[in-house]
Amino acid sequence: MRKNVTIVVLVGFGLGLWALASGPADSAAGGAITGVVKFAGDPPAVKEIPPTKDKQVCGKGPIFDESLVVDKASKGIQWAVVSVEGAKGKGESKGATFDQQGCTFRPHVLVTPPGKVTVLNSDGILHNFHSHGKKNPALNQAQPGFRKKMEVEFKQAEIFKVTCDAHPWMTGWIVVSENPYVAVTDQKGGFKIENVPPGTYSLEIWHETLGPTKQQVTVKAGETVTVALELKK
Amino acid sequence: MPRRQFVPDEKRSLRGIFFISSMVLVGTTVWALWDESVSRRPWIRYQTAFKQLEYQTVQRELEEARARLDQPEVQTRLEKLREELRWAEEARRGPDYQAAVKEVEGRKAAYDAINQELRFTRSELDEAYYWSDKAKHEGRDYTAELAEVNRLKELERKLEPEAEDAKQQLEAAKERVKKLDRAVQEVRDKIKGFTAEALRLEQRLEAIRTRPLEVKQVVLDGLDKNEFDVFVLRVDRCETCHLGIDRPGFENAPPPFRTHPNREAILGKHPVSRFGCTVCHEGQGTALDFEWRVEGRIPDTPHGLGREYGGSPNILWDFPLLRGEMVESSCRKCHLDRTEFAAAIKIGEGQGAKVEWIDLAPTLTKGLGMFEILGCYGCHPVEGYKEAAKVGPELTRIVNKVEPGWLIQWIQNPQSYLPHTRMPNFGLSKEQATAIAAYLLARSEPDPPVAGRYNPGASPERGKQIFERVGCLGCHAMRAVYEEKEPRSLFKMVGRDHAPDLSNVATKIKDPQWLFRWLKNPKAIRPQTPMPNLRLTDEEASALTAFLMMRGERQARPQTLVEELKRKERIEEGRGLIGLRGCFGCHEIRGFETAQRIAPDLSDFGHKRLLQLSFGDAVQVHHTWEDWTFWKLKNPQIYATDREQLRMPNFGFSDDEVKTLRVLAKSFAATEVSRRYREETTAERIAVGKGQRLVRSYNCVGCHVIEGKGGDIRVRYDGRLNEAPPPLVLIEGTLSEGEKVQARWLFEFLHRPTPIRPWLQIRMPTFGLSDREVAGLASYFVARAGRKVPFEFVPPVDELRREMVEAGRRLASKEYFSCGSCHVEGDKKPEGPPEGWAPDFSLARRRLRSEWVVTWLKDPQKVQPGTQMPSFFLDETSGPDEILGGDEQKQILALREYLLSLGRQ
Repeated sequence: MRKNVTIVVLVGFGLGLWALASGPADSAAGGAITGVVKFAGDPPAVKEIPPTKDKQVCGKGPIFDESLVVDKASKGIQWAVVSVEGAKGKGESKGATFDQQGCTFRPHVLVTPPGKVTVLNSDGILHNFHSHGKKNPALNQAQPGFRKKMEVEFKQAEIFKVTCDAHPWMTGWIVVSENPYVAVTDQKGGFKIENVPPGTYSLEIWHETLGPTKQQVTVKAGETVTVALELKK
Repeated sequence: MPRRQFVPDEKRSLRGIFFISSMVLVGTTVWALWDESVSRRPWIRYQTAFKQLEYQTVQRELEEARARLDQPEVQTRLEKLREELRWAEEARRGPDYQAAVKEVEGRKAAYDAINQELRFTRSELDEAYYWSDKAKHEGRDYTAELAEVNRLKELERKLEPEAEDAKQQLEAAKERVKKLDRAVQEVRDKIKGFTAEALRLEQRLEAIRTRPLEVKQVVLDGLDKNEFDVFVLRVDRCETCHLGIDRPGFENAPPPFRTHPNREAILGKHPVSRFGCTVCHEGQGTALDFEWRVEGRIPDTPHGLGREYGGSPNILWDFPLLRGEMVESSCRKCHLDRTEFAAAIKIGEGQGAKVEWIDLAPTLTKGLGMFEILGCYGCHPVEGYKEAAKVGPELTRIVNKVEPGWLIQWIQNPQSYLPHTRMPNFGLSKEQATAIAAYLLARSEPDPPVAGRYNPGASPERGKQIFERVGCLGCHAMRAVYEEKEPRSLFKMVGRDHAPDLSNVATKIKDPQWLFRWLKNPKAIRPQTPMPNLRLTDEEASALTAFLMMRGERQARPQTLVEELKRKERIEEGRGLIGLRGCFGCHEIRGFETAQRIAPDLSDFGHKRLLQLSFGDAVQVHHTWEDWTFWKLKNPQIYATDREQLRMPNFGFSDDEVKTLRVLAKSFAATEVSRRYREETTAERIAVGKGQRLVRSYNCVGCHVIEGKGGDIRVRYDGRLNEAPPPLVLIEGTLSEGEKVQARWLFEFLHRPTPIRPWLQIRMPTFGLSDREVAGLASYFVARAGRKVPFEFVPPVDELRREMVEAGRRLASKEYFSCGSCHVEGDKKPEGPPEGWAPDFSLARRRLRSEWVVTWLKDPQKVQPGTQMPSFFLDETSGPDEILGGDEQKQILALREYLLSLGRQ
């Protein structure tokens, strides 16, 4: 009996040590924030944009206006950016890629830590990557059809628009964020930010059409906070 | 009465008198010495103080330098260097060095020997030649001599490489020695580098300590003339006390020692040794007692208006020291062109430092601008403006244009209709205004016919669209509809609009027909107008007329007024008033074609003495030039008396504007300065000055950004800047129209604009410029681009180029850069809506400069930040590898060749 207790204590101690050794980045030490960003009001109709040029390529699939995408059933807003302000941490550049596909930018909103971004041209026609940053120097770089891949670099944290002057309907956004606690909402408006160090933060929600809003959130170690957010026109 | 006892001189004692007089003499001598060295030399005090100040400053620097030397890391580095030095010196003392030195000696001996042999051989060869030639000329057989020549020649050939070889070996040996020497020297230099600053500062301290106290003076020739019109010398001794004026590092020192503001820019171009100080600052250059001898004013009285308005009330002589912005008035003594006032100035220190063009005489520049914009020269004759164009519109054809009721109101109080107008208020009564209107209407001519038919039923909505799109808003404001608080254009500096605000235009216009004709062809009605022809169709002009005629209430025209305006006495009275107030100074008026300017000549106004200025009944104004001028501009009627009527109208200047104009007024001086002080005006400068004036009078900046200013209309193109008029001259960027386009094309374009992007609504209007004006603008752009020769030759495509043209064509094709995705090429239009189209390639050959095409293709963003043209060549991987071997430089040239091969040859 006594021996068993010792074993249990030892195993427990060992587990404790393991947990400590894994460090604060481990989910055991941080909390998670999850939630849904919803649209207050009736979801707007989905707008299709008829391409006016390079129809053989751009006309292959339908192109939708992505400036405000709301799921009919759940009213969740896609392409909203949720970030935890003031949380300490540094994101590692894992080589984000931004594709020009079917005459749209994929993804529509790209989140990346400061560093290099690979820009692809899957269409094989002339596109140009025109970024409208203020802190990052504005780029307007042509990517002709034969140039499938090129690299651009953004060093400053900023949210800016990207357009293609050859195809005026093409719009994308790049979110350069110093800290790794950023998420883009999915089709249902859902998001999840993990491994957030415990503390009280301001949760910032940014959307290209609906603008920025803020909400306070308290994260506890090992727990998941669920937040419900609503954006209005 | 007892007789005075006679005492012989020998027995009289003069001790007392001697003692007293010698004491007086000693006292006087002491006083004289004291006065000479102290009271009469107040500057000694300043020099001693400055010496101390400088000594302390340098000592502080020295301490800092020594502290830097004492830092442990510096010390360790020094120690290391010393160690290195020891090693290097050791090496030099070692056997290697000795051997090397020995080798040099050996090699030198060898070389000398062989060199001597070679030289002797050459001498002998000369001799042999002589004998052989001699024998030849005497007709003898000279085979033997020739054989000798050949032998020596052979010997020389053999010796030459040997000598060369020996020389090289010697050099190599020397080099080895030098290398060892150099190693030592380098380390020594490095050590010296550390201590050099301290050493230099120590030397400076010593120099300061031993510097004598002395009056410093500059003698200037060619600035002043005497009564006989002969140049006389001028002496400036200001530097005797203003010791830090031309030295950096005393920016925060107390007043007499402070460094001159913008020292490098101002004193760099005007060294004190050559220009002195009073050339700009006036005052008494020879005086060494500042209090009143230099400045020429008695210090302030408590009630003086003086200090408040830049002067002091009690002036001791006519041209006292100039203070503050008033100093700028001296610039025009030597600088005739205002483009000369700007200088490149470094701002900030170290990494953040940048160079900016800064106007060093901003008040004067502004004053000149006001003078020209407001047309002061219309009434005041001033040297340099005698031929300048009148600033107001011609009033020879107004009978069909203006509503009489409006005209009277306008003449009486222009600001009530247009708050931002340039027209001043003449303070006329209603009767006087009616009389002037009566004359103007009676002498008005009918309008010439203008082609086109006005459609009274045109749609105002369509008119509004046209108004917003063709470019009217570049010059005209319509504050009732489009919010806009400030005046725009380059007239902003005087708070005036370039063109009238059209919010209430219908109140003014008598006949829509007239407006239609005006819009169709403004120059036909008023040949001098800056209003351009927008090449509107009848339909467009009609719609625009309909829209404008809805802005404001139409006025009633009572019959009594119509009759009053036709009365002969009224018309005659109006004629008199126009003559009296000088309306023809700004406006072309019939019957006054040869009238003389009505106001005094201002060419020497800055030198007017108080005696020449009448203060009238204005006892409250202090008797100084500054105060007189201030109040005259503020209230032109202030010096009027019962006996003397004054005619100047009120411009409603603010205090600041008055002070600005006063600086300009001070600069009006008919003094002649010797050539050596004057800046040689270059042809480029003249071109820039003329161009800037043209840009201002035609308000090019209403649409285009020029030298960082203007582009007012661009606010209406938020996010669609590619549809707005292009910037033309940027200071920061490299974009300059003169670099971009061929001078010949520019010349033709300015005369008769041919749209580059005809699919846009906004258009470059036809200004109807004269040849001289067009040449002026073209030269301006060319001069700003720094080009000397404005011509350009675009060679025809020949066999040599054909290959490049072909490569360019391939690059531009859809498989590669797909230029046709946006660019029009003759009849080939890109897909998609016209807003996204880019200029026609077939225009390039006649329009663009081939050099510019290369710069542009390399990086369009650098040339025109924000352009929609993307960069195709950012790095070595940008171009396709299969064309021209993937060489990007060649590909750019190929694209250029292709571009210039298009269009008509």
